[in-house]
Amino acid sequence: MSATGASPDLDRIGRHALPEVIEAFLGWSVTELPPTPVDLTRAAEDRLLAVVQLQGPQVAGVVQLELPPTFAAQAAVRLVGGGHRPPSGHVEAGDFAGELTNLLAGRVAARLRLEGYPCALSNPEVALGGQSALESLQDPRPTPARSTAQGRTVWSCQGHRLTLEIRLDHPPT
Amino acid sequence: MTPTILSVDDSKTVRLVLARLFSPFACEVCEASNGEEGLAVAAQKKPDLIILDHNMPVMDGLTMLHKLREDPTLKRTPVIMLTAESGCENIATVARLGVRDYLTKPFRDEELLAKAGRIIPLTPRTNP
Repeated sequence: MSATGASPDLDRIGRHALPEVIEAFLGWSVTELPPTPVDLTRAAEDRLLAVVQLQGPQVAGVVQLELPPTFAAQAAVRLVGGGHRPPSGHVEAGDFAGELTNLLAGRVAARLRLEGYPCALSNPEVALGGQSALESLQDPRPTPARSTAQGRTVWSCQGHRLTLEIRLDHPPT
Repeated sequence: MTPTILSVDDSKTVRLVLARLFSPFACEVCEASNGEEGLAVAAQKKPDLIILDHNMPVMDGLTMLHKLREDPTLKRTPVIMLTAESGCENIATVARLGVRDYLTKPFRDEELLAKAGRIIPLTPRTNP
């Protein structure tokens, strides 16, 4: 399928992707919260930020998930802490955040492909800590010469707040 | 003889999930975090099944698969491929390389067990 010309609705894509992935991966339900403004000055010492880049012939962009490490720890128990606990090791919060974002990016890429925007995924990058640590990730912000679409949804899951952001960068026509 | 499963995934989370999934069965699960490591472990362990992730740093799953198929001692090893993205064009490529099955992550436990059980015997582990 080729692109229709209209930008994909990234909020809609995020609203499909996050509940699908969390429910399939962890068996937990999620509730969407009202959108909150982005506060760049907010201390993020207790947050993980995971990013997967999207790269295709017509678009480039990112799928970005922000979550608390305590959510990752709780999810780890859910995933491997059952009756058949493997003898080797435990899930690390950063690795979990990267894998979860990878799964989300996979769902996003599948929907973009259906809308005519095929793209490949990068390996996830994860940062833990304050704003400077988050900025240490490869800057995914689009260049000003390009038109940008953005979708941002905020969710509650097991009492934790998760923020999913999808940005797509179209080359100028 | 106990079958050996090699799980190749850069995510420790996924490797642990697979170890947990197969722990009730009489099988050995060994692991590698990228394709390069996967080839080395495969050469040493001669696994009966490889569960292989697609996107990985150092060497991705597709490259590892090509190299496996070029190795006379490993070329017949059954492979189940895992990917985060459904519907990508690589499905056709991996089918040509003789991949036995293909699963989109996150997968349901029973789905992977059913696919693995068609390739190796999954017998419940007996406690000593």
